[in-house]
Amino acid sequence: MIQIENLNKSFNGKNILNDINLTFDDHKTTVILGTSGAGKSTLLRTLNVLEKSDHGAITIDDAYVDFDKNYSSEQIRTFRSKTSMVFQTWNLFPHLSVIQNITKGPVSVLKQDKNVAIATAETLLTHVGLADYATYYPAQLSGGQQQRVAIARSLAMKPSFILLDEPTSALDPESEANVLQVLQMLSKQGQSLVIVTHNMIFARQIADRVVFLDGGKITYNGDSEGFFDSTDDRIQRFLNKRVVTD
Amino acid sequence: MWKIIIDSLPEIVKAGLQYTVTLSILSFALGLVIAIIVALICREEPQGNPVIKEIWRVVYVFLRFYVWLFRATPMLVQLFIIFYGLPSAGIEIPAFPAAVIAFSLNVGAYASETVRAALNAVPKSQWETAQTIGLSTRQTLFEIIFPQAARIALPPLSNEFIGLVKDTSLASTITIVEMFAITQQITAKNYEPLLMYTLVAAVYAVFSTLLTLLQKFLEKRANRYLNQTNQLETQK
Repeated sequence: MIQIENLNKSFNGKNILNDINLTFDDHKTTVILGTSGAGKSTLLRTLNVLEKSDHGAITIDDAYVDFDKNYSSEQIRTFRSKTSMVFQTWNLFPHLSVIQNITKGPVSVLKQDKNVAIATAETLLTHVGLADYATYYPAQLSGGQQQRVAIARSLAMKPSFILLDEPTSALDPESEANVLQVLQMLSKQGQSLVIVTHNMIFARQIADRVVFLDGGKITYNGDSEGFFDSTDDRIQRFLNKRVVTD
Repeated sequence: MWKIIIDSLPEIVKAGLQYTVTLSILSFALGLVIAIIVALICREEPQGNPVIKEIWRVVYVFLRFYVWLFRATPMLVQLFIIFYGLPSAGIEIPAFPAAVIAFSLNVGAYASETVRAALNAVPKSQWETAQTIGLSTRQTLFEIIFPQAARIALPPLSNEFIGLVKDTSLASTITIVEMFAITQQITAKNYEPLLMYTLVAAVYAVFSTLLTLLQKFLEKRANRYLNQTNQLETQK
């Protein structure tokens, strides 16, 4: 479980995250929604300490980071091992093949036996529908294929939570559908996911829970149906705007 | 003419292999180490401990001064200061080590900018992704960043190296009998300056051409993960 307490972050005098208190449950898919600049990505990146918060604390399972106190790089590494990140632009290592991208973490960080890591990576590639692409380099793959490799890479680290920052925003509709299919499969298998997305149809399909951020504050935190049927003005405005935009 | 060439060429090539090649390889290797260290230190202010930050600032100013100094003054002057100047301050360095020091420091200053640019050209997202996977700073540098930066830095660094091979002729001014010095000595005996200096120019050109071929080979290797894409696109 992820527990966030009193998280605050400001940048150039502007509050990005305003006293956030949240929990993310195990084996659930939580979707974070909000307008651009609402603090969604900052919140997600803070969960992996890619962004350092000004105040507050985060607990993931038995790992803990208190931003008001000093923490060692070893503590950060232990904390980070609880989650893995999937980025909007997938960020595969271009000089490594698909299989090397997936096994890099398990071999170099988890100190897994190389053959075991390769076998696991091959299984993961089959799960994401890319069994034949192990020896390809990222530049030889489409955006959607690269994103599925990125998902396989994050799964290889066996994290408690996978954090996905707008995983389909940079994809064409066909690639997007393939990636969403993989995420739905993971969600059904009980993998804990925290997803930032702008795709409302997908959010509605996959979310067990929705967290809605507005101006760095939590405006809604509850089940998916409750959010999409909400009569709250701000949520209605957001959803109507999304329907027009999408 | 051919007799002069046949008689002189082995001596020139021997001096080339003995001094020009050794000086170039040694100075470039040391210069590259200096360049990487300077680029890594100057690249980013460390986070956290204020004492470390303060030490970093002093080191940063010193290193920027070093880079400025060696880029702002001629290599010949640097060579003369180290070999002829330092003995006045009680520091006597033999000719060959003096040349290696001068060339290494000069290469280090220029190449540090190349390495810094190449490191900065690797997207920040690659550092972040390596962090999220849990790679240590050392692993991130050696396994993720350097391989990508090397591809970017290879053409300008090759330029530096080829330039250095020719610049080693300056070592003749501090008593090192390298290719150019031996050519001068032979010319003093046979009075054939046009032929002899053209001959040594040709030998330098051969050395530089070999290095250019090596550069092409290395670039092809470094670009292999991009070249495969091009091949795939060509097949389509």
